Amino acid sequence: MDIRIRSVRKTFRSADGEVAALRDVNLTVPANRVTTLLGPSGCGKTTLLRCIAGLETPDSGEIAFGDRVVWSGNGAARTFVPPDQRGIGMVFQTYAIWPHMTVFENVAYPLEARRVPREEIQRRVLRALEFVQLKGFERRPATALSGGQQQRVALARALVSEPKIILFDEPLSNLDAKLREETRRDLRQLLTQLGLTALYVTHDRHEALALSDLVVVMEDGAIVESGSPKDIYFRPKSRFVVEFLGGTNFLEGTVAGHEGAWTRVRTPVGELKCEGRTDLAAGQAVTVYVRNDAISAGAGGPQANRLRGRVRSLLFLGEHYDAEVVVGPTETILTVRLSAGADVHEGQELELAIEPAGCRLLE
Amino acid sequence: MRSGNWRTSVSVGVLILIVGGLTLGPALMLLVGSFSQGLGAVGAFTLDKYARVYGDPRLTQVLSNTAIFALGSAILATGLALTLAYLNFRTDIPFRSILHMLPIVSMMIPHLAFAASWALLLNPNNGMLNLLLRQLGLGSINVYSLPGMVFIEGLLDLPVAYLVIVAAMASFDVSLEEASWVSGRSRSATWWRIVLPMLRPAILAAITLVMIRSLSAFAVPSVLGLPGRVEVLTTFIYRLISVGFVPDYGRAAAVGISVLGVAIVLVYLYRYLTARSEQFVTISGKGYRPTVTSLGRWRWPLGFVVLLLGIVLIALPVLVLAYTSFIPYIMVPGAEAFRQLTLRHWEHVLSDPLSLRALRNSVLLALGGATAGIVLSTFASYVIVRVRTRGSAVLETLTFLSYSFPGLIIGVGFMWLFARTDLYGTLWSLLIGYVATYLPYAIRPLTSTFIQLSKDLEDASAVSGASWLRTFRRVVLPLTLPGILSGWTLMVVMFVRELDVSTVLARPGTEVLSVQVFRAVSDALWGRVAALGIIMIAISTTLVLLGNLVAARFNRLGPARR
Repeated sequence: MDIRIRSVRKTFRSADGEVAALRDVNLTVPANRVTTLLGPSGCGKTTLLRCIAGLETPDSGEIAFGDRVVWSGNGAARTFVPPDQRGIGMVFQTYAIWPHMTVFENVAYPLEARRVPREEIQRRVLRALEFVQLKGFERRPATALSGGQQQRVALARALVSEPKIILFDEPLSNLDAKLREETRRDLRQLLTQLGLTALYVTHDRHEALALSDLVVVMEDGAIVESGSPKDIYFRPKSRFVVEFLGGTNFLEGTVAGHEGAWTRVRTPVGELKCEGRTDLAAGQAVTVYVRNDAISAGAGGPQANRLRGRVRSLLFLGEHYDAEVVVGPTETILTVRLSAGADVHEGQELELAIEPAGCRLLE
Repeated sequence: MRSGNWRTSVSVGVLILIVGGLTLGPALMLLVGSFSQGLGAVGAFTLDKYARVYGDPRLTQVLSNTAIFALGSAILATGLALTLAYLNFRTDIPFRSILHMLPIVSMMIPHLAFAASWALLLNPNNGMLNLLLRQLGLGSINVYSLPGMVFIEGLLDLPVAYLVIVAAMASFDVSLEEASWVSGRSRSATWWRIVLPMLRPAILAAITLVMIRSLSAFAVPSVLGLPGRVEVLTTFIYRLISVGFVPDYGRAAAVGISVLGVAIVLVYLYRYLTARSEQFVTISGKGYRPTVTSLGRWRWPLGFVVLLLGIVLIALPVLVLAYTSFIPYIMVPGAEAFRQLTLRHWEHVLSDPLSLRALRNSVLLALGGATAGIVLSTFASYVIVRVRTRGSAVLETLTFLSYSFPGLIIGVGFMWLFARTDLYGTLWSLLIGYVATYLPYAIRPLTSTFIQLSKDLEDASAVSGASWLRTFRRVVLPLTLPGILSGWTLMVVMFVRELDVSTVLARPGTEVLSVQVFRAVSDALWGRVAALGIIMIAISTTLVLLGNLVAARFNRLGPARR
């Protein structure tokens, strides 16, 4: 079942004035796929999720699950299906595990609310707990669990009633780094296996790229871009998305001309051979962006786009170095990723080469 | 302060000695006195007092009255508090400012003045509302009864219960409710399945706390109970020491010991319940605004109920007392009353040497007692929070235990302690009694102030080479000054209105304001009651507002804590 969002607006009013949380959002969340809403805090992604759950009501617009309209604020015919009748599952950021109940009671709750017979509740709860690898924890009080276990109880509770749609509100943000990575992998596997319509809110780009079939990037209450993780990562169309995904150098320049499949751009570090964009005319101002890992150091690497620079600072990050290299007469600083085994020191002269395919252009 | 340091041990020891003397001293003397021959001084061992007082046929009635009074007012106060807290936190109820004022209102209007104002409104003979009801042919309501006492005490203890419930509700993650809605439960089903069970420990804690208060309450039972001969334990004890030719403090002590025992059990129950309640605390780190439920067409009706409550709790008592202080005798407001307006009561109160002396004594005791009390409680709470030794744990237990001690009974204990000493019948004896009884009320808020103060701030001062004393003076004191100031104001306000301890310890020459009011109530001199009551309210209100203002100013100027 897909989720269709049409012209949804929402404004919060407070003592300090009005904040537009959602400005005319249009989106179809595809059925039986994992979609993430990615964006910085305050971009409206959580508000959108809560509108879908029915915990928040938009000011206008329409939200439908398949053909079933759950919210409509257009004209006289207002429709509002309360959250308890939307038939969804949801995992909250704080897990929202009820501390006065056992693990079993927490997971059984949605089934009791739907008046499922007792024996079936028993069977389905145990199956859900087995699914999230918490078999044998039924009788534990919910407060006696670790963060990761509570997270899995929350997941079991959201899945137990076998909803068509499941919503996630930054469910991994309260876990420590190692556990987060493990859970991310498990979650990906689980969601692929279940084939539900999953909508997942996060501000963590790694999470979004790793988990989803479709990434929807939001900024300031509006959708900036959406696409597959690879499209979003390799072929973003807006500077905001490039910046948000991080690890990128920007160089302002002008198009010098086209050369075969490539476009040549004059930049402060010299003329660069970039991705072919025949739609750009010579003389047009463009922004070149280069990811840290598209720049290589030393004698190897591509023959085009070779630069010389001096290492200004060096950060050893375990897996690799992040080096700031001062390049050219304009003293432009490029951030370069060097292998952890490289023999470098601050002040060292360095030869760099930029992969032409990694020099991407934004208008 | 480092634990293990000898200077720390000595100062903790001295503090334990002072606080222990103040709290356990009178309690132990109560025990000694109850087994002692003689009426007011320690004598030979006897079980006679117990035999006589527990053999008293009236006691059964007194015990059942006390149980109904304490439990009834606790349930009423908590029920009201729960409703108001939910309306305030989760709905779009109007007149919200009344709900925000609730906790400080009880500090501004002394229980004695509140009870007196209701006696003026609903006493069976000439209560103003009763006169009005009778004129309308609607009969009358007798507030000099057990239900009347339960109702008034319940209203008075509402803020106490409200604070406990609000603390639990504020720390309750809204997504716990939302998760239930998403799971398919309606809002009302969620209230019964999630909200109420989660608040259960807090609700029980509020009931227990109010029971501790109403068990030791003296103002309401004496003003509303004694005229109708509805006795509870405190008034029973009061009659033992004030009626007849020779007051028998031994019998008073023998009953008091049992009350003290029950109160201690209740305070432990309270502690257990608050600990249970805190286990449920799950504050969402996201600062998401709680979803406010629209009350729809119930919004204004419920809003007016809140408004009515505000009037009943705040405006009515003040208006009734102010009005009564200007009329010669109780009558319904109207043209006749207006024609007879008089300044007689005010002239009397402001020229009567006894009233003036009481006023002077009360102010002296309030200022002196609060200053002594706040110095002691500042050091005690600092030690409780920062020094984690067995000594500081003892100190914590002592202050926590004495939280349950009823003033009247502790007064009887002090009576035994001071009898035959030079302190007997002096203002000093009252001052010591006040500080001992109300110490925990200042220590508890101060403890939370010190908990909020990050230990790093002190460590940074120590690392910079400052001695402990300099750190305390330059870092701790300036940052916690708002808390200390409000603790001081709280004590001043409590001492200005103090009735329970004073009833036992005040002697000719050491009269205080509330005892004078209480005497005027007993003699049905309502004009004088009203004028003195207004003076008490005026002093308390001014101090509370001033204290809030100063604390707000410091908070604004003060650096961010934590």
